Amino acid sequence: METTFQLLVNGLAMGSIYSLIALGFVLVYVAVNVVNFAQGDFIMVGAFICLSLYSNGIPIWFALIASVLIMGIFGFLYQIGVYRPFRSRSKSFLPVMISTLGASMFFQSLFLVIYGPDPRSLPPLIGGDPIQLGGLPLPRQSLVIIVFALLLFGFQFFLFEKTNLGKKMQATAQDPETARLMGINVAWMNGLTFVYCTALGGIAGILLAPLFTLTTTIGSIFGLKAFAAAIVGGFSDAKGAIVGGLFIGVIESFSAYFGMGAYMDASAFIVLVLFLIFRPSGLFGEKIGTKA
Amino acid sequence: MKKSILGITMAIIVFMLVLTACGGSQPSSGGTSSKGNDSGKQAGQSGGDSAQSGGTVKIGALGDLSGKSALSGKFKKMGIDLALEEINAAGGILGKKLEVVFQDTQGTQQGAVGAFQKLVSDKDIVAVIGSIRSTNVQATDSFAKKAGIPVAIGGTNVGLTTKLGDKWYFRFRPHDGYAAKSIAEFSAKKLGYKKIAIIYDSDAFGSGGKDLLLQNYKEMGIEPVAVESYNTGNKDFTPFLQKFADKGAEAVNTYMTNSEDAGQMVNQIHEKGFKYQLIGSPSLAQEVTLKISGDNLNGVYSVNDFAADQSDATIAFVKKFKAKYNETPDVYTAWVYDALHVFAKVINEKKSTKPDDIRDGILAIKNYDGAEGNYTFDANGDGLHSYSIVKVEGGKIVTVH
Repeated sequence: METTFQLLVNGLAMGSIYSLIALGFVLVYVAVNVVNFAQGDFIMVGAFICLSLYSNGIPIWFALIASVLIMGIFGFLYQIGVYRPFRSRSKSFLPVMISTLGASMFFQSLFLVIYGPDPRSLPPLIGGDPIQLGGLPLPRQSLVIIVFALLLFGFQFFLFEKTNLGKKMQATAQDPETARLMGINVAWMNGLTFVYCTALGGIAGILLAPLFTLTTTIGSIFGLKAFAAAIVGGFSDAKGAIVGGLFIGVIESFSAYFGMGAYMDASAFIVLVLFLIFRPSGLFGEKIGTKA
Repeated sequence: MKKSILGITMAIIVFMLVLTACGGSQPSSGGTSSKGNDSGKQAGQSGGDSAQSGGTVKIGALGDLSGKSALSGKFKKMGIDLALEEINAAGGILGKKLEVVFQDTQGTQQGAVGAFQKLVSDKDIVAVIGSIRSTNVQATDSFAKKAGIPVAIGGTNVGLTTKLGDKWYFRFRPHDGYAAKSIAEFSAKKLGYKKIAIIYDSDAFGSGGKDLLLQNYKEMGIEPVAVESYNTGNKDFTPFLQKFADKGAEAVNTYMTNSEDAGQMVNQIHEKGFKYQLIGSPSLAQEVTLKISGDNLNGVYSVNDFAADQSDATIAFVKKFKAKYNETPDVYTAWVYDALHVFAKVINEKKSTKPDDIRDGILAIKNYDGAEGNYTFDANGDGLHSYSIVKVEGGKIVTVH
């Protein structure tokens, strides 16, 4: 019982991180029809920015908020530098995709030059021994990750379903031409999507940095798993990304416990392959191949 | 349209995966057997006066005074120079001055072989201080056999003395097999743990260490409660940690290649509130893990073959070294310091520089208190047979055993 509970909590915490990154993948993909390869690296950038602020004496919670704001600005600059110049270049999506791939490599190299190869770590947001819940120990940082993710999922729902801005963003994603005719500033909406997704990545990075050593390549493996999560979820909407991420996280946690130790990383991709074979539309999506 | 986007995306993902896999990760510290290289830039000579062979006894030394491992080479030379100074101050060898001839390896294997050949082709050189790198030691094996003079080595790969069958190799550091033995004996005998779990890196170093650990525990009649492997660079250790707790492990032995991984695991143990004692391979207690884990590392044990406070002889050595160079000696310095002293002692006792006499003398050494440890040579030519145990206390690494 305790083991199941622990593995579940751990899986959900890891899954929450995957979900936040997967959300970034899916929202950008839906909005501008491009898979943003640098999405994983945003977690690295966010965590390093937070680390810099924190090591200069700024309290961790303020550093968190400030980093998220900085990440938003970073995301806006990112879409100006990486997405826009190629947006209207021919009808092909490839230049943009290669551009994001290049950006990913650029960020990794740049941060390696700035911060060096030594692994770093951030302090937990709430330190201390695990909280006891009816005899079951709850690790604090896992809890913090899950609570943060829930809040962000809630925010996501509120933003997209209840606010005018969110509806505009959704409308732009669904049909940019019509949205433009309705008087929506499509470029601004796309820019905002990038800002939002970059900030999400940044938060994910700051949440996981206390648990995982922070290196400049940390974005790659988390990015890949989040991509798998997005596919499992259907690559079509927020709900799919969230559930897909949690699903992958929990599967990983249990598979490592039940004897797949060295194949732990592989388990996410085994799930991905099984989904591609037996349920290519993912958990929620339309069938990937026929999506309009 | 979108179909092809995802298709191409997948292709790129696969491509990136392959790239990542090839990139691999380099073990940082505490990893495998032989760390540094030796050095010796100028094929110069150090200590002693001019090369009048009538007035001096010559010992050769491989060193990496240039190339990528020049820093470790510098430390090696400092260790040798210190011993040389002491030996000559105490009257030299057989009434003559001792002289050490350095040859540079440029930090490469080819360089090491070339330098070694140069040294042994000098008929006045009676013994050589070789490399700390296992690969270099392996590469110079045939030349050492041909030359037939004693060579001190520092590589810790087990096979260097047991498999090569080179009767001229004498090892001045404990080999990797003793690390596993020290971990197992300290865990089960000294600390008295019966329920022990093992976590190891799936690479050659980790799985080799795991096999040695299991062998040691088998001899003690202990069956580890869980044995788990992970891949270098693994991020989430929680499932393994949970399994250890479920199996009732009181202690966990780590055989991890990278200190980064070890530090990460220690942080996760702390975060999840698991209570077992950690006892591990050298990667566990290092500056790198201290940096990652900070206070979380307090209380862990790890094996180590050189710690500045491990014995009175070491403390004395460190003091002299600091007085001369104003720097703290490290693993590259102590064994060569001992090797030169042992050569001088044996030659003086045997009153001969004949290779066979030196060999007999070294093999007869028992309980020689050196800076690197207490030497008793066995038939294979291994001088040291245990690692020290260090413990992390208050953010510092201290020797406890």
